[in-house]
Amino acid sequence: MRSTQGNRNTSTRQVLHGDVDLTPIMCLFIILVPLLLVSAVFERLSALQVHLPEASTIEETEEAKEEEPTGIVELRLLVKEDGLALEATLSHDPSGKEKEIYEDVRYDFPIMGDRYDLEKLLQRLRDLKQEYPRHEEIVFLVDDKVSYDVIVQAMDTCRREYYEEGGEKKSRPLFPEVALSETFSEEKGFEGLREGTRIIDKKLGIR
Amino acid sequence: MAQNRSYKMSRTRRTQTWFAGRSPVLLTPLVDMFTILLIFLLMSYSTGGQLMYMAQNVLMPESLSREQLEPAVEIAVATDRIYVDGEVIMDDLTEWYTEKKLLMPVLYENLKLKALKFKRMEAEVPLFHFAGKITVQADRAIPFHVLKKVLYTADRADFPRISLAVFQRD
Repeated sequence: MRSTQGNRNTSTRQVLHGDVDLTPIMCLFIILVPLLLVSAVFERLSALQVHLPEASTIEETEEAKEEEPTGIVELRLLVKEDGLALEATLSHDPSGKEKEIYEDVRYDFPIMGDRYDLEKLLQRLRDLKQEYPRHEEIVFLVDDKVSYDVIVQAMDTCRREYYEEGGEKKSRPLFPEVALSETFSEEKGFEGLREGTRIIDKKLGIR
Repeated sequence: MAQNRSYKMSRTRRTQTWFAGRSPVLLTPLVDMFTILLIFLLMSYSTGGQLMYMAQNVLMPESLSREQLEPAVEIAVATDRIYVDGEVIMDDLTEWYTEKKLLMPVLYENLKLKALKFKRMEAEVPLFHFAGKITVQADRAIPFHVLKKVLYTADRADFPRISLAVFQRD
């Protein structure tokens, strides 16, 4: 009899003072927090797709031939130690139907102190994209001594344009198909290169 | 009035018994802390994405790209060594800073063997498809002529679909 009374007493007290039993929620936290901590990602990674023009397979070049003209025959970005240069071979009609008239244009963006002038490049690319909206490819011709970081920054500028509209961050593609190449192709080195793979292939037992 | 009195009484009694019976640990701040931590971690939790072996001394460049990494063979190029899938395969790159040739034989051999293995698997396992994908993590300081050799070698070794891994920037 007494024990029942005691129990009732305790339960009334718990209701009155909100003395909540925290053990289950602590158990939950102790399991969840380490689990999420272990799987937490602080540096997010993403990918940049690139193409290698000289080494492209035969199917790819065939595909390229079938593509409809976009008005730009070729768009090249020269990444040099002393700055950037944008070269384009344009056909005058943006639809690309009149192939007879070609024009070569070149815009230089010299280095400013130790920074590449990416803002001016972006402006120029934006104008080109407005004029020739269907063109998507750009070939990077990179100097040997340029660091990888500079290439990635230039690629960022050429692939997508980021802007704010009405307080919202938006982006639109400029020339997302980037092909990486060197400033001048070493035709002579090519045969020697193939010879090199042949020797290793033979060693590995591949014909 | 009577209720109020009993409340006061019970409160004093409770405090007394509580201190007498147990150690005076208050769990509330701990629960608060855990709750905040849990909310923060849940917000930064990301499903999907590709886990990647992060090589030592490789500080990748930052980019605005939001493309997802796909499962692929991973090459990591530090300023002095090259890893393939987390294993060091070339531990001295000094000669490659002056070398004129484009093909790196050790890397080529390693990748070619992997490609062969995948092709064999493709023939044996019905749902497996070898697409020649490769992910390159390279240090932001390496010059293009070293990167060019790595990319060229990968392409020659039947990995033509190259993605560069980068850190996301806002």
